[in-house]
Amino acid sequence: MSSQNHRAKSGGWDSYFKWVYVAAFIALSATYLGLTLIPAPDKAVLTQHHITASDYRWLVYPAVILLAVSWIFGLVGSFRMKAYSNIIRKSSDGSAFNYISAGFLLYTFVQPLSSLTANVFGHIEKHVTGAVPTLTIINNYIAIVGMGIAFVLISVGAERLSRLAKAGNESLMEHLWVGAFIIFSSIYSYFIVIQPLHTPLARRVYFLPPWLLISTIAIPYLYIWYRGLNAAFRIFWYRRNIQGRLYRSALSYLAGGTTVVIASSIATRTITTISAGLNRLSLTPLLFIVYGLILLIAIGFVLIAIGANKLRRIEEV
Amino acid sequence: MPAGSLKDQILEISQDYLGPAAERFIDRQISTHLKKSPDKITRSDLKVLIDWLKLSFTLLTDDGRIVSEYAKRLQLVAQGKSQEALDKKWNDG
Repeated sequence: MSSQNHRAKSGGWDSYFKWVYVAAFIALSATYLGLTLIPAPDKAVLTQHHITASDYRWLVYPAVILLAVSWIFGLVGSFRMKAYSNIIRKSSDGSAFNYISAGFLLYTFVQPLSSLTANVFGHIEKHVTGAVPTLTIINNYIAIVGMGIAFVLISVGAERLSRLAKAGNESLMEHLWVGAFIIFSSIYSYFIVIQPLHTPLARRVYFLPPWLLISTIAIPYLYIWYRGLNAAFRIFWYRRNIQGRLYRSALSYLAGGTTVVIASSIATRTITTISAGLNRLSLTPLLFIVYGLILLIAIGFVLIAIGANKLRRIEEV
Repeated sequence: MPAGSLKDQILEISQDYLGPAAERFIDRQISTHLKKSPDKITRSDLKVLIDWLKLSFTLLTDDGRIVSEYAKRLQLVAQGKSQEALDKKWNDG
């Protein structure tokens, strides 16, 4: 439409960084898939769930492939958002969207990274039994730090964005969501506390004394999740209070996608954190829960990509 | 109370549809199609500008009612009925 199209499409997005990011992302994902799909299933797992190696493959392979597909959607959604934020980077909302897209890019990168780390550690642990506690602790902290930085970046961007909208009456909505988060935190804390922290089962998940588990796992997660959900709330609040029918319509996809990704990601992590209790379930319902959450994350990123494309279109005509 | 410059009047209407993206949208249309600084448009530029704005707007939405409402409000500015154009959104509900 305009002669600025070409400039807008390039968006200043550093192509060198982009390709390094994509190459590293593909390398991590491919290595994870190779290490997960090629080796024979762990006999201990087969015995625990009373299944054959063939059953295991039918149950686990679709989940792993679905996970990889959701990472690809994450990559596409994050890049679309980054491209949009680069186009408007010099404006007041550009800086806010830049933080949000950086958070999603980091989140997307951390997914294959932490999965691969866990997988590699799992292989090492089979041969070096003494390394299990150290590697488990490192793996848990990698997951916290990765998710934490990503959610804080998204939250900083969302807070900046919400400050751009006209002041509205947010108290009721804010009280409602903070109330819901308090209920969630209480339920989460309950599950953490009722877990028998001194049993070998709990040690297999954390290998930490109770005070370290609470102070360096439970509390940081609750803080990170608060920042993540607050980011989703701020983007919705911005969408609700900003002018522009077409702009708001495009923003709805972005706000919805952000909420779905953050909420599903929190649900996934919650299940992992309280997994000692879930071990009582058979493998099939557990996998259905995992399938559902992975699917939701993929859907969230599709919505983000659609929203970012619609917003970008406004900047390109 | 009449609004400010022509650009401000067009911007104010456009913000009802494009929010924070409106100023970038208007500036881009003026500098690309009229080859002018956005602050220097005159009433004689408006006809061409409104045609471009309407055309560009059709690429953003399939809803013909929004496009025609936007065009009508811009036409009111061109006719010097700026306040009417700014208020029209409320009359149209």
